Amino acid sequence: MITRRVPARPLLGIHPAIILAVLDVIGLLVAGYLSVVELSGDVPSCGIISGCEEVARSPYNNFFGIPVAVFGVVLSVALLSLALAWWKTDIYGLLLGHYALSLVGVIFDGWFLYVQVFVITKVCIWCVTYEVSLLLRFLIALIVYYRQPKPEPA
Amino acid sequence: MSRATPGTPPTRQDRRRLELEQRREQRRSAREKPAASPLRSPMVLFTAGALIVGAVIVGIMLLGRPVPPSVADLLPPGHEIPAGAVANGRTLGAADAKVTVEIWSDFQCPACMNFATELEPLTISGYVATGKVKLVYRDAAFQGQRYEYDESTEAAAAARCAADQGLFWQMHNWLFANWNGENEGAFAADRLRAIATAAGLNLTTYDSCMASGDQQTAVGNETASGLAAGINQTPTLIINGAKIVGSPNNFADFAMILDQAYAAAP
Repeated sequence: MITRRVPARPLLGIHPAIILAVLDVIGLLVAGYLSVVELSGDVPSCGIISGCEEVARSPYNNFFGIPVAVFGVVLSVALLSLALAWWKTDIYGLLLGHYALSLVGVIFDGWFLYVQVFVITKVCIWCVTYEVSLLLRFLIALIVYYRQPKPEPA
Repeated sequence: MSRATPGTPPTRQDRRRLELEQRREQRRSAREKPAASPLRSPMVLFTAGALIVGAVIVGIMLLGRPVPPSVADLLPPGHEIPAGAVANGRTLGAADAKVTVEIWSDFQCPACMNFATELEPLTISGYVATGKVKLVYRDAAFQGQRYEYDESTEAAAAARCAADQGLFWQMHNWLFANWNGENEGAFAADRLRAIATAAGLNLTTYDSCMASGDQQTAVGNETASGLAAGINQTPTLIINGAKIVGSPNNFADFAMILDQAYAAAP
């Protein structure tokens, strides 16, 4: 069933995969910036808003010794690939894959936001930007799923 | 009631009967076919899978979460303040000592750490405890200035908060004993708190002192005044007005300088 091709119902006049892909690119740029900065041993700049340095230097910012931003890059690349593949093929399962993978990211980001607010007591605006983009991707995938015609069972 | 036979066109009644039979057949097959369980919906399966994977990742993060450093994680100083060395705030030694050594230092600076852990203990036991020399600590907190959380300033402020409780030199010793690289988190807020505990500070007083920001401002002001006076490297020692930039190579060299200053003092 999930391998069936179901033409997507346009959202805002375009294929919804394009909206998801744009948000995926935004997330990729944010996570990419954070990864490059952190892997080079520096800390991201927050401009006039403080907090990025404390979050970046926090031990919570690492998962098995790798900055969490790197996982953000991997997640965004995977989501972007799913969005583009869905756009090109209309295979129903790719939309579900985008939805499920963004839900995994939302769960992790919920935890990370909790850590920022209640444990580190500093909020990194770059991280929040990524978290908002991921939440939007999840919500849009969910809305698109409910608007989308479902494939008939075999 | 006639049935259509091959070769004769079906009547309207025949077509109607055929339609009814087809509908009955559809209804029967619909009843016999088991209803698709909502639990088998791909959406439910994908959601459940995502929730499980997300929960596992967060669970791993929770299990591996860092615990705040405790006193047990710290290294104790290699020496104690001898009974003969009287502390008064950031000054150690007799007020009327003939030689005054101003130590412009940064708790993050490795050369300052070497001076504090190697030359200073011998100086204190040999010169300060005997009343010849007094040490005066000055802040030249440069090393963390480009960071939002300035470990140099925070460590120096913590030491000043300790001074308010009469424990500057104990805190000073614990800080340098637990030096661990520059801007690497050695003097992160929770580690400073553990160091303050180890040095014997009242933590409630310490917390409010650090939170007020007054001591951080004082550190910044003293660092700026030192810079204005040409103190741009740490440690810088001012011995009865004579400036020595950097730490002496060994205690013998430093003792010679102190002896000369003592002999030259009125």
